[in-house]
Amino acid sequence: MKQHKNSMTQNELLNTLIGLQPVMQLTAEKLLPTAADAEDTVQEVVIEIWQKRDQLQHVLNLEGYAIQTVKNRCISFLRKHHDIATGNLEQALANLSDDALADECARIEEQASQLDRMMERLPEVQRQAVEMKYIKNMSHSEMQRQLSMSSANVYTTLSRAITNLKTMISHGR
Amino acid sequence: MEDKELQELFAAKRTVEANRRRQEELRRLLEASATPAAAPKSRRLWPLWLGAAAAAVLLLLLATPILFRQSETAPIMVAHNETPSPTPQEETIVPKEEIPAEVPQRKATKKTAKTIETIKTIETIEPEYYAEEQAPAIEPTLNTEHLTLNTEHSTQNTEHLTLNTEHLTLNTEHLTLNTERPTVHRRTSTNMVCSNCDISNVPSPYTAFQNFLAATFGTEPRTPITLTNIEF
Repeated sequence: MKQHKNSMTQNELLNTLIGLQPVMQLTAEKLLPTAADAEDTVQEVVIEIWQKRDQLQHVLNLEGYAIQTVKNRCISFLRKHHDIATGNLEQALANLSDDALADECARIEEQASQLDRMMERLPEVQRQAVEMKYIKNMSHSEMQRQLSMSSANVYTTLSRAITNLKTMISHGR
Repeated sequence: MEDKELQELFAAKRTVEANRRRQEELRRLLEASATPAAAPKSRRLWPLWLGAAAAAVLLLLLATPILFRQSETAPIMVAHNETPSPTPQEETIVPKEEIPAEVPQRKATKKTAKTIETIKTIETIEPEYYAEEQAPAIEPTLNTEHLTLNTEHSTQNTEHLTLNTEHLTLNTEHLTLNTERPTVHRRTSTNMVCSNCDISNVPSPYTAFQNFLAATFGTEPRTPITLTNIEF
């Protein structure tokens, strides 16, 4: 857990808040119906903490404070939109311990870095095709334009890239 | 199995990319909002200082005429004091009847007498005297100096003068086709006769042919050949 010391400068506080964004986003996404609502809620909470930074000198555990604020804001959002089921919410809140959230964030980071390592081993064209298709969610016509390829070539390249990635996963076990 | 794991990896990568984008956006927002808070207090208080200075200048401007008025009235007070002392005869002017009985009669001192004399002098001055002293009455004239016709905004507003063609529809109520007298010229057996206009001098084609033969050969048209007049 990161500790918010009294001597924390404005720049350090900014970096700490930015670093807490993934955990806050994950918390909000587990409670709210859509990712867009979660993003809005996290943004509001971060800005609120930033504006109250002069009054938060006594807060020692800034991460806990931020996550709790996000939870409270999510509950207010659900109450406001009449989209709350008490049993489900209590269960969801019980599962949202700080440690569990931190573990999940770490797992996501690890998976993303694992995919990066695997994609580095792919040929350039295949890596570009995989990024466009599965990460940037581009359409085939956009991919054809970007890669200057025919539709059949795009399909072939993607197929080969997926085969290569699957082979890497199976060899990695 | 590899499919599921691969999909998880892609989902994790998408989440990380989205978080990176959100972090950049947050950083931009926070840095933009950090500028006013980081400014020193003296800079943030400059509107107060400016307002105070403006208020002081305004007060000074308002107080200036009052100060000048006070300085102008001071010599007048001195002039009142410098009124010549009345003669001994004038000191006895104060009539005893004017002093109310309830008020304990007090011997008028020299200073009091002077004051009373001054008041008396002011009271005895005829009002007409002041009226004459004042400037002669000015006949009321119409000051037309600023009475100019303001035609700045008196332009013709033709903005809404558009032709209203909403109700200008063609009235076809009485535009019916008159078929009462059809102008069809019918031909009779001998002549062209119009039943409507009674033109009867138009020859029939047969008559016209007979006339043509007569004009060409100069003979009467022959009688038609029949079996009875054939000569053998």
